[in-house]
Amino acid sequence: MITTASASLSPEVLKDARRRERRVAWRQTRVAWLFIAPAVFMVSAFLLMPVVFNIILSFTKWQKFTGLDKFAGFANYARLFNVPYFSEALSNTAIWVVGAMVLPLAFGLGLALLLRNMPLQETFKSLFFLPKVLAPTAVGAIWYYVYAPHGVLNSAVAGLTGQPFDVGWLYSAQTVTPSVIFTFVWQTVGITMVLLLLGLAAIPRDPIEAARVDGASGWQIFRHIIWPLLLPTVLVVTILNVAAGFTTFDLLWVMAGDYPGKRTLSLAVYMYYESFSNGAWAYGSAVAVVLGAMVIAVTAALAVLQSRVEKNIR
Amino acid sequence: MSYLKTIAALGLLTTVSVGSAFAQDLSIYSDKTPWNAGMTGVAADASTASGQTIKLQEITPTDKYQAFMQTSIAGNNVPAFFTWWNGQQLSDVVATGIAADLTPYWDKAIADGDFTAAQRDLVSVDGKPYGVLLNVANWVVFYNTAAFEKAGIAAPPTTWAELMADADKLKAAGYTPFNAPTSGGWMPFIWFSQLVLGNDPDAFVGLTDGSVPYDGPAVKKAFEIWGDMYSKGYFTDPREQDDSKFFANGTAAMFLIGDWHSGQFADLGMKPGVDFKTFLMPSVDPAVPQSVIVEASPIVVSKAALDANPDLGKAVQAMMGADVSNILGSQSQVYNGNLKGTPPNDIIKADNDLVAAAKPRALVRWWEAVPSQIQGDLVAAMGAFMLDPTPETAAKSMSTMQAINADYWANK
Amino acid sequence: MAVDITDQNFINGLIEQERRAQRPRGRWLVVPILVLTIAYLTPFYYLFVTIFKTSAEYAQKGVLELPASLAPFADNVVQAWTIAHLGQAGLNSLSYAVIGGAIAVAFAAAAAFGMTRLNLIGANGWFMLIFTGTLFPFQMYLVPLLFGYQRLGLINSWLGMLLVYVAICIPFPLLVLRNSFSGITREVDEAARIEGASEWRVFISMIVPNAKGPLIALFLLQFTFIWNDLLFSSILANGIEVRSIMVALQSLQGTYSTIGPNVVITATLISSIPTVLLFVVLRKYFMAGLQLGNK
Repeated sequence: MITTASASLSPEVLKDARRRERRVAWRQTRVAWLFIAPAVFMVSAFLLMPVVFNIILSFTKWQKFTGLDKFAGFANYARLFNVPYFSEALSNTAIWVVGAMVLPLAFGLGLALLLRNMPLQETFKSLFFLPKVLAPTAVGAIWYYVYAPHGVLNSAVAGLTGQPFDVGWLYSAQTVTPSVIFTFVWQTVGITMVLLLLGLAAIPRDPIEAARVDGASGWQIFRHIIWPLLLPTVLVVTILNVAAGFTTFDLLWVMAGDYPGKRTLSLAVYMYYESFSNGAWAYGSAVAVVLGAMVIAVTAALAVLQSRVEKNIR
Repeated sequence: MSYLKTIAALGLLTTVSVGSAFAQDLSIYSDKTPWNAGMTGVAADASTASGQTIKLQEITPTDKYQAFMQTSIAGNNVPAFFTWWNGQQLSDVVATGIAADLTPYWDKAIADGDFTAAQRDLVSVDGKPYGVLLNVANWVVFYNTAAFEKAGIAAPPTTWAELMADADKLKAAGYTPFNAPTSGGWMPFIWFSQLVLGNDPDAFVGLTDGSVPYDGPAVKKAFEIWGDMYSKGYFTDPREQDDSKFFANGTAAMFLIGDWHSGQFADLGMKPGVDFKTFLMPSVDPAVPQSVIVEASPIVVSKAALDANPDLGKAVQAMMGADVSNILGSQSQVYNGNLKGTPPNDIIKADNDLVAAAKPRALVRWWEAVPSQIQGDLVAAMGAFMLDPTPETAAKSMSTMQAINADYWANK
Repeated sequence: MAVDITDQNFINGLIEQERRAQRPRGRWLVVPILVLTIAYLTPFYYLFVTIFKTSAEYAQKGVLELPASLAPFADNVVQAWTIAHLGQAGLNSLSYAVIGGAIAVAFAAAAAFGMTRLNLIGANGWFMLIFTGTLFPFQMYLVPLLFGYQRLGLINSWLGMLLVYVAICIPFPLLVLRNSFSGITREVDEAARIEGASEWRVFISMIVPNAKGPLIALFLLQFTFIWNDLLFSSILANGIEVRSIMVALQSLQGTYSTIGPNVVITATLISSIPTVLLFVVLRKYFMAGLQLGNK
């Protein structure tokens, strides 16, 4: 625009106009600074500075009580590989991520498809959504007793089968992670379903009806019409659940507090014990950095995928 | 513009809060909730002596308390008084420089005949005392007298073979021989360290200074015996979180624990010296002389608080007097070793007599002796075995513990 | 393939197909959904039978059995309330959630206004800076915040908790409000500016009223997040005077010898009342909040 205009205008006038434009822009910018200042200050001071400090701390010497100490290079990162607990925590986190990604989605999608044409849909939606409103701490407290040796689950199985039944769900390495993941699914499936229902509602009905008239099976309709159009929503849900799976803490903290191997149930829990119980601040910070790097890498990959899919649909 | 005012107000608030928060926290922090009554009495006595308001603050369970204290010390915001552990745990705190040197108070207490120099060594680091004694306990085996009678056991065992034979008799009489909880985040070390100690006291010491590995022969043997005892059904369900329940309700006949626990059994309706008595845990290997684990917990005083508020010195001195000893004894059945104080119950008196008669080798608990940075990680591996006492889990626990141990000593 | 449209079978097929398309599908699905729902609701059932039991009753009876009477509920509430200091903790959490949530949404709204409605140079850079705050797991904040707070004297203080909650609750509302503010037509504020209104006036009386729905929904989300927080309070402020309700609830677990599960479960119910109530009353906004997050 300016280049076409410049042909007919003298350089002085042009320069003046530009300067005026810049002055106006700067005046607005200065006002805008006041508007963004509180948010920028709070986020920088309480979130971003700690992250920078955390990264620095992870390169210092492992010291109880004292925190920041001598520079230690990659010693804390080397320790990750020397201590078996880190790999245990890592593999449990991997189970969590996969579980959190697949299970709420599978159940949520099933429910959403079932409920789509149901009477009383709103009631079911609210009922299934309710656990999400509860705090993980409260949910964990209830489920702790569901899984307890004489708790709800064992009693129910014993009552239905007539046999004594005693499984220490939260007390064995084989069952503790699946049990807590199940509770997570119980809490998350409702919100996943509601999000998917929103996505389903946005899918036009005509192509589905047309395919049905053409004799397409339910599976074919789902696979070729519903799923591609639902994919952006599915990916959003996946991003949310994967992030939750990576950083799971409250449920494990509350439900598995009595399990001796609790510290390796996830990287977030492991980081907590190393830092706040063992006093290994620097090492705990290194665990946090690794966790952060993984979360960011995976979320970024999913976000890129999501934006590609969305672009393809449009 | 009003949001500018908001920011200004926020800044002002921050400054005000920073100023006020530096006021010292005059509290006794403790994780010893079962001793609540006695500790409250100590706080009251210390308040009267110093003219300051000293309150009791409790944080439980133990691992959470440790976390809290570590963050407080790291942040240079130490409470005036806090209960701690002696040995390596105390050295770690002293190394940070936050603990007050209590030499003058100990000098006076020894001169007054309240304590002995030997007792001072229990809470000393490099020859200087850094704690007031709160509890001095022998580790003994509590036994249910009715159960022993019903099983036909006339006298408590004096050898390992007798102990095992008695365990079989108790089992036959319908009891679980030993109460062995995993609760509080620390209890799994009890049987582990006892079985190492009973075979090889030097290995027991060596585990805590890096000279003996956690996957060596001494530890392997301990796990074998431990696993064997589990397979015979000698231990209670490790999932129970109430550590006294099975002993107090008569399910389990014996409980290896510090004799400060007698107060809890008394609270639950068992009469000390009548419903339950104690004996010293015999060595596993008959060739190994009798030993006993002695536990001493100090109250540590903040140097900053004492410097800023010299009146607190009077509180420290009061805590070392006979009155406080008797309050702890009468309220919570805890004995702090004060020579002028009276041991609170027959059990503790009897234990002191047992120890005096047997002249065992006295050893610091594994918990106090092990480096605190790896303490919790190692206990976790022991607890894993208790929940799944198989040879496979034993092997895994041993290799895990040794990896953590080796890493610690290599980077020391 | 040639089709004989006079073939009766073919016509019958078409009719049948049409009928199938017309029939409300999935009636039979009511049964599995009901079964699933019952299993799903069992924990709630457990909650409601447990809060009416005494500790002794809980120990003796099966966990799913009905209570003998409704009377023990009052005693359970009193026990939970006094042992865990739920009143103090509830008040703390309420103040963090209401004040913290409101300030965070207000700051986010102001920032979103500055970024979308004003000619801010480098607006995208500023947005990315704040948005970065949502990327990191909370575990990366904990140790530095703890040390920083200890040094500044903010540890174990009401203000310290409020500040961290405000900071954490800014980035997401900003993300949402940036979208909804840019959706409002430019004419709205240009008109006001021509009449000489200050930017502050434009923000308060033009933009904010236009985005009331998202603002309320966002506030609800942040309120719920703060009310439900366990992690930050347990590390930065676990003293009885300042701790959050979830820390108080958690402290009840672990006192096994003195109280029964009936008291813990009652405390669970008490600590869930505010968020559940908000959900029931303002369900519309909650669901709207979900759609916001979906964008």
